[in-house]
Amino acid sequence: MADIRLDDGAKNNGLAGMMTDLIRQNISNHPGRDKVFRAMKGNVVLVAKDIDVSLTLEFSPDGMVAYDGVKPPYSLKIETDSDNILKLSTLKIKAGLPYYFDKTGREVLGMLFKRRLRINGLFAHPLLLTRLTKLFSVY
Amino acid sequence: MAIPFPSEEWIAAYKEKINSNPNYKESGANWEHGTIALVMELDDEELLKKAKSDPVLSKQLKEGETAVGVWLDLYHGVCREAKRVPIEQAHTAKFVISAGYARWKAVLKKELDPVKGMMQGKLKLKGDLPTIVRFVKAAQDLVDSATMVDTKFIDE
Repeated sequence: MADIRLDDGAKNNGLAGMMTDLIRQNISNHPGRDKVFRAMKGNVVLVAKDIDVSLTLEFSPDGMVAYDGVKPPYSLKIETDSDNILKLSTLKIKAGLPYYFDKTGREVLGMLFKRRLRINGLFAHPLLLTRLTKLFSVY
Repeated sequence: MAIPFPSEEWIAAYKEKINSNPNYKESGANWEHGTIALVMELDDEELLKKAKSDPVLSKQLKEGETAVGVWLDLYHGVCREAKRVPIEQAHTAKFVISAGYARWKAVLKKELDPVKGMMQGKLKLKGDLPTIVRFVKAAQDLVDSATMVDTKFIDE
């Protein structure tokens, strides 16, 4: 089982705890995602703007650690409202890729176009984003 | 008439509100993932004193009890059972949401969104998160049902 943990300084960051649990439980429910997890490398920042909560997921060959706040340098920074962060987890995966052609997929694309969802690093690290989406997806 | 929170009468009224909420009936229609327990911590002396002086709650709070567990047996959009349980039993539910009394009060007054509250660390969730994420709307409708109960807060 992949080593996934919450940094001591992130114990009071509810979103960091949720993302840590979500990734751990998703890998447990879908063992095939362990390979995706092990291919992750770099820092991913999540910012829930409306509730002023941010965290950094640091992926390395040793596993993943979730930190409170923004920990540079990061490869991806995803900024949106808290409701939309959970919506990203409901994107379906088809043929190994995030599926954008159903209601949820269209809503996520709509958020991107309307800039209610900002992804810094989207074009520089598309593979990392695809892998992250797979790790987040609850389907 | 307002019902003291979190008394057995309040829990019975909550069950009625869940079962008469058409939104929950729809959003929870596929729920077959087990019980949910809500844990309310009476986390300060003053609050406990007020609970013990409340004519309804005083009869229900056991000696030394500092938290109340609400057990919800939910299945396919219906609340089959809602009851007060000892805190040890509450923690055996498939999903447990815990918070202090003040946080629950804010949730019931619609001042705190429970999902945002979880992300801020104000409410704690124990259980399979991917399941909860798939049923976020149902969780919100459950909370909405609770806000429909005419509630009397012991610290007011």
